[in-house]
Amino acid sequence: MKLPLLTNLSIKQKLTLMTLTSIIAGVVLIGIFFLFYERIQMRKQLAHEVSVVSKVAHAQLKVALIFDDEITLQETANSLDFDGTVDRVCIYGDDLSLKAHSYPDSVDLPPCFSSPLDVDIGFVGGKYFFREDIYSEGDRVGTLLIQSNLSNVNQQIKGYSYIVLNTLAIVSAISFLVAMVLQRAVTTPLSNLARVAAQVAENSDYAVRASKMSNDELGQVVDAFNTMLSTIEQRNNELKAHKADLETTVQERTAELRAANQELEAFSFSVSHDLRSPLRAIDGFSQALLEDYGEQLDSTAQGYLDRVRLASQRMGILIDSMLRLSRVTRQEMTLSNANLSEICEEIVEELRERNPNRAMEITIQPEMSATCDVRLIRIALNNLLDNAWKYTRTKEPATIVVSCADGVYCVRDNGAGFDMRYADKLFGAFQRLHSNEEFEGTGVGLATVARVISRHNGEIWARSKVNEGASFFFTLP
Amino acid sequence: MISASVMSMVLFLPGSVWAETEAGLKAAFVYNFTKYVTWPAAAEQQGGSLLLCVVGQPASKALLSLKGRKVRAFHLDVAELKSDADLSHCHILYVNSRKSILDLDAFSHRAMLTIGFSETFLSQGGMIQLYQEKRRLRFNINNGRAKQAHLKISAKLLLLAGKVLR
Repeated sequence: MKLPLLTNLSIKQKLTLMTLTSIIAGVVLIGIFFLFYERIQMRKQLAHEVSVVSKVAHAQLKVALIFDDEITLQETANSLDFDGTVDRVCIYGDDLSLKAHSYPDSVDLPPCFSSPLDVDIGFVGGKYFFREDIYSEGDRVGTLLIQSNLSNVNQQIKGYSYIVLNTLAIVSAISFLVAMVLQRAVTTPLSNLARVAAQVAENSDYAVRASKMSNDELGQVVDAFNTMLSTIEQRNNELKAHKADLETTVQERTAELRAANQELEAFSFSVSHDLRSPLRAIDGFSQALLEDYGEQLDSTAQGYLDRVRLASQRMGILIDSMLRLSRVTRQEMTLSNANLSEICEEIVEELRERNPNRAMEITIQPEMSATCDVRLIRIALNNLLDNAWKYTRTKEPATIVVSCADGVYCVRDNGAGFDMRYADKLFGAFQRLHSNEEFEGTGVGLATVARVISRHNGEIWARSKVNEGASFFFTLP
Repeated sequence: MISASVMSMVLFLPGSVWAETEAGLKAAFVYNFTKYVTWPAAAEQQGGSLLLCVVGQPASKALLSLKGRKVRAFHLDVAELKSDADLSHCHILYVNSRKSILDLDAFSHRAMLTIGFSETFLSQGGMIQLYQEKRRLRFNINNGRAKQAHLKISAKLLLLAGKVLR
């Protein structure tokens, strides 16, 4: 059962309300019972008094009726009034005719009924009617009818009501005070507990403890709460210790990693850089050997030298790629608003100039723009378009589409594609899914693209099916 | 019952009928007096009946019809007697005459209730004198005489009497 009125009251108010309600209900019930009982008793009392009065007058009435003595009847009727309770006494003869009635001159009194049999006996309409037949030697010689008012009864009931109301007021006031004092035994530990709980919730301070004030259920709750706090505090400390440990470890590892990475980059840069001059020497001297002593060498030796030159040139390209990748990683970023569509158009223009014989259908969505480092993004787009150009070699016509939807940029071609099973190797340096004979390349291009996008905090991924083209998606937040 | 109904009729009957009902009223009064008069123990036990003796004018029908009516433990018996007859058995003597026809002093010590309506009835030693007042029948009592005769007349009856002689 839910009493919506009670839900928003505090425990203190609820307790006071409960106590007061029970006490007031009790007093009211007792009062009502008391009043009803009094009412019944007083009515009984009234009926008894009236019957006693009639008994007293009975003998005198009888003789007066027998001897038809109106004066005596009149006097007797008048004498029956007691306490102002009796409104009117009516005396009827044996033929039920009215013989006499009390105070015949008074007009304030209710009139006598013309026949005593017309009257309902008992308490009727706020009056009490008493009727008694008077017998002499077995013959009914007359009838006495007494009409009483209940003003005395009502007066007394009213008095009792005032007493009940006063009692109610006094008892309510006293019980309110008592309830105020007694409910503290419950509410003080509760509000104490609530305060501590709020403190814990607000400050996450698990070191506080609620103080136990009693050995009842509330005391048990306080104990349980404190135990819970201890457990939480302990766990919290353990967690904090772990966290501190972890952070230290992470910092150490990060530092180690950074150092290792820098070392590696420095190493690869210097290696690439330093490898170039000996490589140039190999290529240069091989060329000089061919030019100056070509006639003295047989065709096999010349073939070997050609291979040395090709290999050294290829190595040069590899080193250049590595240097580019390294630059992409090390270069400082300067962000500006770039028109990606324009950049793509420029790259495509260069590609067309380099390979004027290929029939390409290239669609570039206009007005694509992004906040990025223009030089880096140009490198990335150059690699992606270059790849698309390269892997569509076998297709006629070859199509390349550059588009953007919902912040995701897409470079799609209808070229050779790749097997999605090896998609995770796609963006690793020197990882190739195609042989050099099929499509030439260094395996650094997509690694460079991935590096550029990750330096922009973006993501890159690809979708493809073998021989059905490839789509490269990237975001630039 | 008869007496009561007769009494109530008084209020409604015209004057000419009064004479007829007067006899009935008187009979009723005589009967009712017996309820409030106590005879000495010896008299009350005697045969379980009270003897009402009527002297003077012949007894009215109403008076005669009292025969057999019950009073307390015994019945009424009615006897019409000459004024010079032996009245020693009578418990109640009703003198049905406007004149004094008996020397009532002769019975002053006998437990015999004497009722009459002559104007001098009480002064001549009678106990209850009936008289008419504003079309109502009323009575005076000579309680001294009754005491002399060892008759106890109830205080209730004395209260209703117009005059009570001690």
